[in-house]
Formats: sequence, structure tokens, C-alpha cells
Amino acid sequence: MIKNLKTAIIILAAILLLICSSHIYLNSSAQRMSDIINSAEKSAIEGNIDAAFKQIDAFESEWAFNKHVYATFIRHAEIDLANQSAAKLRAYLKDEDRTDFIAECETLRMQIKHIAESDRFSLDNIF
Amino acid sequence: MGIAFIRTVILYVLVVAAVRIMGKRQIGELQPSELVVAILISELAAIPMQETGTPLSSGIIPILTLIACEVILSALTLSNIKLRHIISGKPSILIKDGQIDQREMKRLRFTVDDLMEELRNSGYMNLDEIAYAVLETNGKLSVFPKCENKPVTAGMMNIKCEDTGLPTMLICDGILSLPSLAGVGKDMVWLEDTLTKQGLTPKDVFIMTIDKSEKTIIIPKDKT
Repeated sequence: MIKNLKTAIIILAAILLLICSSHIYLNSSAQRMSDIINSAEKSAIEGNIDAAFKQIDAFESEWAFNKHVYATFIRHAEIDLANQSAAKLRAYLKDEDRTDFIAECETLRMQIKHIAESDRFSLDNIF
Repeated sequence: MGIAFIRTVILYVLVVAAVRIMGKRQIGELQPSELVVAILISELAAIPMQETGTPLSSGIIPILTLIACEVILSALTLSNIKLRHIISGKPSILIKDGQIDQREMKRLRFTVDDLMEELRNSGYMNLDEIAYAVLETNGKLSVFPKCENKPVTAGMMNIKCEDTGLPTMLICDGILSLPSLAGVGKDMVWLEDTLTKQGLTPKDVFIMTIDKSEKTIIIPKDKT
């Protein structure tokens, strides 16, 4: 019984550690990606397409890594939605379609925010 | 489909490990909290098995949490009687001195049919054979017959009987257990002598046991 109790306490501690670390990772990575999207959006509004391209490159490399980590604790459907939006951003930028690019930036920012909030400790999420 | 297969194997291993960690009591007799955990685990394992879009962690984390909570709760109830009564309840006496406690039966929503069924399962046909019946916390009814209906024992008849102890398995399906052989204080010479008398070698034996009184039971393997 004591052996099982020790195992149970270790399991519980590991789960709590995992939850806390995933929570911190999710928030910090989502904030980083949102900041990059904001910069890309600002560049597009100012008409600086080259800078916007560079920021989209930075976002894509960040997202490429994060989406694999997210997939271990976030529903895959949410990641697929953000994937679709990320793909549209580059296409809009190539066409220099600033209006759709800005709208898609807003959509992607909302999706990333939702991903980060879906695992947050809040009454909304608990109930 | 491949993903569902791999997920199923992972969750299968996890659920088997979960039941092992919860202990043997879980398999045989379920306390209320254990029943809840058993039901929840089966549901939690089934969802991520079927839905590959759901992260595996959404099945694994709740299962591990439930096991941990169950083991911790079991440990707490082991040392705290009040908590044990709250979590597992108390045994209820349904028949006392041959009298049915109708109020207690009503309180437990235990019908006469349930009572008669349990008594029949225990080998008693009539209520007047029973002195006490106790409904245990795991839902099983313990039945104690009146003195005149108790089965006769060697002690009642003043018959002396030898305690033969638990038989030790020496050979199982042709495989000899050396630790068991050493445990009963025998060696290979004794084993070979015993088997040679019957024209057997260890490989020819299906089951061989020995008890405290050194009585051996040897069942040879079927030749077919």
C-alpha cells in the first residue's frame, strides 16, 4: 500500500508539474506569435510588404515548432484552423491584398488567443 | 487507422497498469469510490481511442489523476475510520436474531426479492434458517445461519484432523520450479526418485504438487 501510495503521489506531482509547464509554455509561445502577427500587420498597413514577408517567415518557423507541442494537449481541430489561417497569410501577401491580409491577421490572432485560453484556469473553462 | 491502433495499445497498457496500481481489491469487490473510478476509466480510455483528433493526453491525464486520487483516498480511509465510513459506508444488519429489520431494508431500498435471492445464493431456502444477515459495503450479503443450521465441522464432532497446509506446485506443464522444490526442503534426487517410480521425467508431468504431510499428487501429461 505504501509503495502504491508513493507511486500515486509521484504521478499526481508529475501531472501538476506537466500542467503548470504546459500552461506557461502555451501562454508565452502564444504571446510571442501574437506579437509577430501584430508586427506583420503593422508593416502591411504601412505598405512595407518586404518587412511583412520577413515577419510571416518568422511566424511560420515559430508556428511549425509550436503546433507539434500544442498537438499533445490541445484538440487537433483548433490547430488545423490556425494552420489554414497561417497558409492564407502568405497567399494574401503575395497578391499584395492588404485588406484580406489584415483581416486574416486578426483571425489568426484570435485563434491563437483561443488556443492559449482553452487550457487556462478559469471558471468559464471549468464549467 | 494506424493511429487508432497505436493509441488503443497505449491506452490498453495504461488501463491494465491502472487496475494493477489500484490493487487486487478493485477486481473482486468494488467499493463505491472504486466503482466510480472503474466506470470513468473505461469511458476516458474509449474516447481518445476512437477520436484521433483528440490529444492522447486528454485521456491519459484524467486516468492517471483518477488512479492517483483513488490510491490516496484508499490510503486515507485505511487510517481514518470516520473517512472510511463516509466514503465506503457502514455494513448494515438486515436480519438480527432471526428478525428482518424492515426499516433498514427500506432505507437501503433492498427488496424482499433481493434478500431471498442472496439467501438462495448462500445456500439457504428459508428465512427461519438465518440468525444474521449483513449487507457489506461492497454490496455483498454475508449470511450467518442459526446454530442448528450450521454445517457440521470436524471440531463439533471432536474429530482430530491434520493440517496439510497449502499444496506447493513443483511442476507445472513440464516446467520444474526449483525455488518451490527448495522451499519444501526437497532436492532433485528425491524428485527424480519419486518420478522414476512412476516411469516419468519432469517433462512428462502436467502437474505435481506436495503438501505439508509430504503427500504428492502427480498428473502426467496427455500423450495425444
